[in-house]
Order: sequence, then structure tokens, then C-alpha cells
Amino acid sequence: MIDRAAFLPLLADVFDIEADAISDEMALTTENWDSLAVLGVIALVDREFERTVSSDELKRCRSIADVLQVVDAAVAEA
Amino acid sequence: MNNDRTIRGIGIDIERVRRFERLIGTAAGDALGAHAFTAAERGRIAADAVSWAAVFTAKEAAAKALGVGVFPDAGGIACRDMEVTPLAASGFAEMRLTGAAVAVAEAAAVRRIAVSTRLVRGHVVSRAWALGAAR
Repeated sequence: MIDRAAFLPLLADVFDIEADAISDEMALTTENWDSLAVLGVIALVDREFERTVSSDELKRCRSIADVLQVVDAAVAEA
Repeated sequence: MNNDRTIRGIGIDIERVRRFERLIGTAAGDALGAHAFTAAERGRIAADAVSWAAVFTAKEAAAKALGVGVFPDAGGIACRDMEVTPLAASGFAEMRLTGAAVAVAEAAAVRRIAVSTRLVRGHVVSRAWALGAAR
């Protein structure tokens, strides 16, 4: 499992929201979940965990909790 | 004879400059910059948010003009397999393709990609024209 407390503020920069405003429940919409955000998450996971996450899996995410689940799964595949 | 006069695809992309202002200087921004931009581009755009947005949207537009996206694991082109040249006097830049992007362009009979970028009310809009010979 990734350290969510450390990772969520990094995700907040991708979504251009305040670090204390991001939560598992935050919904991903067409407004905030575009190719820039998906690429941002892919690049961040590569840098932080040296793991590759699937763009298709990320595009299917509908909440931050879904994103964390995809990242957790990628990191667990050691 | 000019073999680049037929438009084989058009792509457009738009991003808020604000998103890049937020990203630059953060861990996520550093990661995105390393992932999406070539070394030459990083040297040219430095920490300028408008330039980041211009190069990023130009790549998205170019990929769309070729009929693909920017996710190689989903059949697209890696951003680093595209490099935006400095703006020419014509007002257009070129998208230089490398790696797997070359094969994608060849399959689409595209010989070159011209890109144009504008800043409009806090947004950067890039358009790309994939050009080739008439079939």
C-alpha cells in the first residue's frame, strides 16, 4: 500500500486543487480528469514508485479512491 | 513537386495555463516534464507556464491529427517521440517525430506535421495539420 497521506498532496497538484481539499471521495469528471491529468498521474507514479500504470485503467477511474486503487495495485506488483 | 500539400488529418487541443502554473516546480510537474518533454524542449521552455502549455497542447493536437492519442499503451504516441521545433517565421512550428511515432505517421501517409499555437484568455489552443501527398 502506498502512503496515502504523502501521495494525496502530490495528486492535488495534478488536479489543481488545494492539498486539504483532495479526498478519496472526490469525483473525477470531464472537467478535471483529462489526458493531462492521466499523464500527470502516470508520470508521478513512475517517478515516485518506479511503476507503470495503465492509461486505460486510469481512464476508467471515477474517483480519487479508484485512482489510489490502481496505483496500489501497480505498486503491489513488485 | 511538393508532396506535403494534402491535409491528411487535423487535431486541436486546449489547456488552461493555470494548470501548468500550478504544476511547475512540484513533484508532479517535474515528473510530467520529464515524461512529456524532450531535453531540447525542457531547455527551451524552462519554467514558463505558457510555453509548457503550448508544447503540451501541440503534442496532443499532433497525435490527434494522426488519429491517435498520447498513451503508447493504448495505441498512441509517446509525448517524447514528438518534439516541437522553435516557431518559424511563417508562424508555424513543426512536430519532429522519432521512435514509434515515425511508423504511425508513415502508415497514415503523413510526411510532416505543422502546428500553430495561440494564447486566448488564459488558455492555450494548439492546432496541428498532418500533411502528406495525395494518394
